[in-house]
Amino acid sequence: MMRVVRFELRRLWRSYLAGGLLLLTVLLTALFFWFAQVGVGQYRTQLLQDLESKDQSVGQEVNGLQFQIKQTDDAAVKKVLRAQLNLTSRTDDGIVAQIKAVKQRNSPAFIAGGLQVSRYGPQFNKTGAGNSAGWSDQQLLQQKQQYQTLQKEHQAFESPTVTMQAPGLLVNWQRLLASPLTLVLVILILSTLWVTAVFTANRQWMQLNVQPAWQWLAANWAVMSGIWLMMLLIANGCMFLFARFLGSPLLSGTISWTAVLPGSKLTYWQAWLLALGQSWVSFIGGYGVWLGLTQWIQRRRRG
Amino acid sequence: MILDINELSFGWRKQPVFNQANLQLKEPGLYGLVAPNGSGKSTLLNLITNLLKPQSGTIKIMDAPNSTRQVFEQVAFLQDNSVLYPYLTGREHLIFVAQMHQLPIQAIQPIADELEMTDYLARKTQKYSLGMKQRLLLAMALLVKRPLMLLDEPLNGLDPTSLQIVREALISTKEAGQTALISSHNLDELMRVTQDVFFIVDQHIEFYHLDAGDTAEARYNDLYVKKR
Repeated sequence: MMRVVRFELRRLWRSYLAGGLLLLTVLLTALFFWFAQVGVGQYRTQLLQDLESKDQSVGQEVNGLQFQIKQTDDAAVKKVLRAQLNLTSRTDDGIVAQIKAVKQRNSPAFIAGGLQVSRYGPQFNKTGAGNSAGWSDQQLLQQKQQYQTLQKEHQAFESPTVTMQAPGLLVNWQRLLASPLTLVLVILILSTLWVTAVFTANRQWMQLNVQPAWQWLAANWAVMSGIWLMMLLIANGCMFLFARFLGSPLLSGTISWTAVLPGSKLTYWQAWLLALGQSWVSFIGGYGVWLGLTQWIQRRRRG
Repeated sequence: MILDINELSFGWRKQPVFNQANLQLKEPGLYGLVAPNGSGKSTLLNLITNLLKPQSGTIKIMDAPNSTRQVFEQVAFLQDNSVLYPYLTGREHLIFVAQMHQLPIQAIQPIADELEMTDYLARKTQKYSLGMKQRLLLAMALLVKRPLMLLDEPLNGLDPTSLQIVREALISTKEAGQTALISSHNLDELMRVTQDVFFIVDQHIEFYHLDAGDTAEARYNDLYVKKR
């Protein structure tokens, strides 16, 4: 069996498929990193636009309240309006602090500003003016919990979907490599060596020289499963190096592998390992089914 | 019995190739297999080696059914050169064959020397000429030293020097007590190594021992050309 495995490895090497796969792995990794880089830039711009839009809404609310205070002579109404103005101003201060933090690329200041918004936002909502800022109590509560965790664990603020920080980037990359569509494409590409032999006269030569015949299929399965694992490790290794040397945070600071991945109960490390395992195990199963299917088709054609 | 084909029938869809054909090889030696193009020479060799399944009839090699295991242990098959991997070298092909048949790698060199192919063994087969490929295929068949050799057009594309080398190699196998069934269109060359020839005629296999004065070409003309 090991001799057939070595032969399949030799075929892989000699046919230049191994070199092609290595090149493809590095190129696709670089491409994904570039997409992430563009995505982070776009997210930062979007974040700033959202904050400025909220600042504008809340600022109008502040001006309105100031105008109403000037207009009214009723001391009781004035007192209520002043209290509302106080809440609205504090909320706006938080937003302004966040805008400044984004411009200065300062993650701790952004989180602090966000916490201030989360603290005064719900009370501001009760005044009935909160709708203009476009947030709900539920959103503010989630934001508060997330920012408190980040602050407590000294983690940087990053987009949950696109980041250039190694832990988040590798989780996103590995999840893409575990997606069904990616795996189908990978199976088709990696089975080139098998398909080009099993549907040509090469199959006859193998059948006459490999006994028992199932060893060829098993050897190809084992080799390609190993190759996919290697490709995964190379892809993740390259991505780690890209993130380490070319990546930049959304604002500032870093995120840790042991931090909890937003929206899940897993740490970044656990989420990455899980996606890696899913990708490999799914490939092994899918590739085995594909080999069996192609062999069945080939036998039907022959029959 | 080295090879026993009994009541063999086989066809491609609506085109019958063999209809209750029989062939027996009892004594070791060299045997020719002759027929016009498309009459079933390669098909017969593929049926013997279990690459194709007969519709009816039996094929036995060394008194046992031609299972893939039996073929692996008893038969060396020189196939069409399309079986070669173009991106592998001749040596890599030979090493794989040697390894799969539990032979020492050192067994390759004497055969490579005998067939005068040492110079180009390290080159990829995609760079081989037709004659070089034929010699490599023959080397693979000779390497495994099986009692029965099936050679599908081994003389195709060979220059006079190569023909002489292959002829000598075939005669050596006969002297070593092996049996070879050689399909060929090169009747003159075939006559130089054997007078025992099987002809495929009307979906049957007929055996002729060609005596002195009788040639394969004359017999071929009798069987195929004059019939038309």
